[in-house]
Order: sequence, then structure tokens, then C-alpha cells
Amino acid sequence: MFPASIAPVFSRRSRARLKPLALVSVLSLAALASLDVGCGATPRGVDWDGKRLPVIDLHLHPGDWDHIPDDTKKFLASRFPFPLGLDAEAAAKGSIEPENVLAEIDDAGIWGAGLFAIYAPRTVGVASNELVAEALTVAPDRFFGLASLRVDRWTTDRDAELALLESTLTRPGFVGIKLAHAHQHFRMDDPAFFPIYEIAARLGKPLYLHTGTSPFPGTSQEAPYTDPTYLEPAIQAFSGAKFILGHLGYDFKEQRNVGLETCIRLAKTYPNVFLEPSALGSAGSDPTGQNLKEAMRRMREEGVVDRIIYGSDGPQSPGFVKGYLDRTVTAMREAGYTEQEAAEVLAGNFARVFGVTVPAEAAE
Amino acid sequence: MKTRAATTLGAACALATILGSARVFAAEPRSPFPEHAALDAVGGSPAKGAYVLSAQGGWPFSFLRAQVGLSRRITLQSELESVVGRRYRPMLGIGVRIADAKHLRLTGEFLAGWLFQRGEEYRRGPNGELRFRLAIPVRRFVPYLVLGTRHAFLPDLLTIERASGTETSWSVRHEWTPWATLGLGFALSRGVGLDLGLNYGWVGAPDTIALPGVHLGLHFGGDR
Repeated sequence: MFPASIAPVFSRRSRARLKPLALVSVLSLAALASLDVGCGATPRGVDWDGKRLPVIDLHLHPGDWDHIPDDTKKFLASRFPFPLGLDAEAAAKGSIEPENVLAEIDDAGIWGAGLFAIYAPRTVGVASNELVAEALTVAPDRFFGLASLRVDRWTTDRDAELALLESTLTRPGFVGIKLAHAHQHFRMDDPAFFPIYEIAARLGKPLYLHTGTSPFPGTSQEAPYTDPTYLEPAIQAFSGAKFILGHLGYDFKEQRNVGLETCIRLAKTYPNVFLEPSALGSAGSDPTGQNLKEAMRRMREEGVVDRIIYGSDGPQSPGFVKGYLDRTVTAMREAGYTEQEAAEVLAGNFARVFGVTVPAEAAE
Repeated sequence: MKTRAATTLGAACALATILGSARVFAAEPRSPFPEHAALDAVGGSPAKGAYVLSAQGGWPFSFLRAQVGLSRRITLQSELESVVGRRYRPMLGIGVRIADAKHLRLTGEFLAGWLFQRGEEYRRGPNGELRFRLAIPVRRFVPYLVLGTRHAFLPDLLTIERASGTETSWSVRHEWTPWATLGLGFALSRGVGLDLGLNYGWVGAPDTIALPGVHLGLHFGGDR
């Protein structure tokens, strides 16, 4: 291929430069090989000034792609990083299967995870209690199930749904209840659904409630379905039930902390209110990266750190769970959280509220 | 784990080879040929009567491209881009040699075509791209940079069936894709070249997240 006149020059000079060449090649090989060597198992926990703090992610979704409405599939596809959304089914199945949820939290150094059931066939789809029960068997010591129920046929099926919820909550691994008024289309202040809170209080199972608007097609975005103010009658009426206000009333449409101050007020007023800052700080929902920082800062300023329970709303896409934890830790550092406060947010408050013991190996 | 190790080893060997080649060919006294297929492919705008055919395979973007020099500065080109076999962009356009020197070639290109995307999100519509290629040929090597802006217009037809009749309305969404490629071309001979490049196409910017990609290209040229 090379002109004949070049060959002697090539040969003579290449010999003279053989040693540096070999050295560069060996160094290159060593540098690249070290990338893999350095990527061993992720240590558990978050490093906080030299000490490892255990982490539990309250908010993760195992799922069933086939039970998600078409419009929501399209929405989810648009949320995957390009080009993963081009084959959203494969990407989603690769994320929401329980083995992959476990892999994601392992990769993030997270010890435990709450897995949500959901019955919202017209918005985000259905992840049944049975599906969650099956997922719990993948890591029974590290997965914690939150059961749910259908409310769209409440007039006729109320008693059966409540009975099913109650029996599910007695199964091993189920620690709480998941509701999303906006996705399930029932008002936060509708007394017809208060029997759900009565079960939560009686069985001592905390309630996780989606608050704020939602980007999913078909969501009821009006205030009675999204504004946590409308939960106050239930919070007052069922002081024995623990209410976890998911997403802090965030407006995912306008990408603003619309409900934050209301959530803080409720937490300061009622000892049975807890706060969960998931999803609002994701790259898609908080492009400037300031909203999660503002939320973490305001909650600390108002003295409600003992009510914050960490959650991500993953797994969404590969790496999301880890990324969200990094963002939250950064927000806490910038807001001046102490080691003790960070430990409470990342796992301590979850353990206290849900009655879970965090083992020593959760952070090592 | 075996796959990762093999990939790492392969990448290390490739890098070592490239570095080694760089050392070897740095010894050449002069450029073996002033214009070659690798330069025409990555720098654009082959000379009048010259042509170059390129196949660049990678993840997530792959390309087939043909360029023919129509005059001293103007090039006709066609291109087919594929993204993991689910999104295609056949394009036709022209290239203009803006600047040309011993160690520099700057080309502006404008292409128009159609976008086809299948999957959960069907996207179809006219598509245009303006881009610039900067190549710096040094002996057999051609470091290059491509910067571009792509615009697709995606029509949506909404049909509402009412008791009073069917209503239809059209709307158009705009998909913007800023584009950058940084790569290195290499002339195996005057008529055959390779290139390795990193691509970043921010499809749907600024409201999306996109992953970067990589490609390896093979180029054939002639006249001439």
C-alpha cells in the first residue's frame, strides 16, 4: 500500500523508536485495563465525610409493560435517553423486572427498596399486588412492598377491594400502601375513600400518596387530586395513619415547587405526616437542578428533616437510581445537612416509619 | 464480565495500534498524497470528478454516504443514516468547499430529506440539516470535527369523531438535533481510508437526554 520510497525510512526510524512505542502501548493497555479493574462491586451506602451511610430508596416501580396504556408507553419512550426509547419495550423490560431493579440499587450502593403496586389502568398502568409479591421474593430481605387497590369501580367493588388490600398487607414483605389520587382519579378529600386510611391506621401500615401534578397522559391535574391541602381532612381524621407526601406536591407540568410549602406546613402541624422528594429533581423534571436543592434546603430550614424519607421514583432508565441518589446527596451537602441528618433522610426515617431494621451490611 | 474484559482489551489494542501507527508514520518525510479518500470522506467536498463512498457503522448511528465533486468547490452528496435499525434518514444535498489549504479543509453542507422512525413513537416528516466539516490533514491522518444543526418537522393528524361528523386538524412538531462528531481519519492508500469517530446527536433537544455514540468508517474513493 505504501510507496516503495517510504519503506526504508519507515523501517529505520521505526526501529529507533521501538522502545517509546512499546512503552506507550503498554501504558495504554494498562490504563484501559485498569478501568475495568477499578469497576468492581459498588460499596454499599453513601460516603459522607469518610463514613458510609446506608440508603433505602422508598420509591421504585417494578412493572408489566403489557399493562401500560399506549399513550403512556409513548410517553415513557420519550423519557428514555435517546436512542433507548426507540425500543422502549426492551428498555422498559430491562428496567422494571425485579432482577434489574435489584441490579440498579446494587449499582447505586443502595441496600433496600420499596416496590410499589399501582392500579391506574387509564394513566400509568397496572402493577398488581401479585406482581409485587413475586418481585419481593427476588430479595426478600431488601425489598419492601407497598400494596394498592382499584378504586375505579368503587361503588360496586369497594368492600371486595378493601378486603383484598387488607389481606395483601398481611402477606410477608408488605409494609405499606401506595395511592395516587391523580392517576387513579379520586379526590384527596372524598370521604368515600377514607376506609383505606382506616385500614392503614389499624394495621399500622404507612400510606404513600402521590401529590402534585403528573406528566402522564390522562392524569387528573386539578387541585383536589394533586394539591396536598386537600389531604388535610384525612390527615386530621386518621391521626394513627402515617401519610407520606410523595413528590412534595411538585408541579411536573410547570416544573416548579408549587406544593412544597404546603407539605412543610402539614409536616410541621401533624406528627403523622412525612415527606418524600422523589422524581422532582430528575434531569427531565428539574432541568436547572435547582428545585431539588431548594426543596432539601427549605425542609431543613423548617426543621422537618426527621420527616424526610428518601425515594427516587426509579428505575426509569439505566443509571437513573444512582443518578438521583447523587443529586439528592449533593442537594443535602449544599444545604448543610449534618451526618446525622443525612443518615435520617437516607435510611433512618424509613426504618423508623416502616419498622424496618437496617443491618450493618447495609453500609460497608 | 468476560464481554467487558474483551471489549476493554480490544479497545486497548486498538488504541495501542493507533498510537503505534502514529509513531511509525510520524517518521514519514512528507505527505504520501495530497488528497485521498479518507480526507474527502471526513473533510467533505471531493474535487471535480472525484467521488467517495463511505460506510460508517456504529452505535447508535450508522451511515452510508456518497459524494461526487461537481466542480472545484461544489459536491453532490446523498446519505442514509440509521439509528439502531429503527430510525432512518435518507438525505440528498450539496457541499461547498469553503476553505482549502495544505493542512485544512472546511466544508459547508446542506441536506434535505425525510425522517422515518418506528417504535412506540412514530415520527415521520421532512428533515433538513446544515453542517460544517473541519478537517486537518497531517500526512495520512485526518483529525476532523463536524458541527451541525438538524431540523425535522413532524406533522400530526388529529381526528375527532363526533355525532355531528368527523373533525380533522393538523399540527406540526419541531424536532431539533444539534450534532457534533469528533474523529480521526486515516488513509490506508489514496483510494481507501478508515475513520473512527465519536458522535453526539442530541435528538429532541433541549427537552431530552441523548447518549453519545461511536462509529468506525470505511471509505473508498476515486476520480479522478
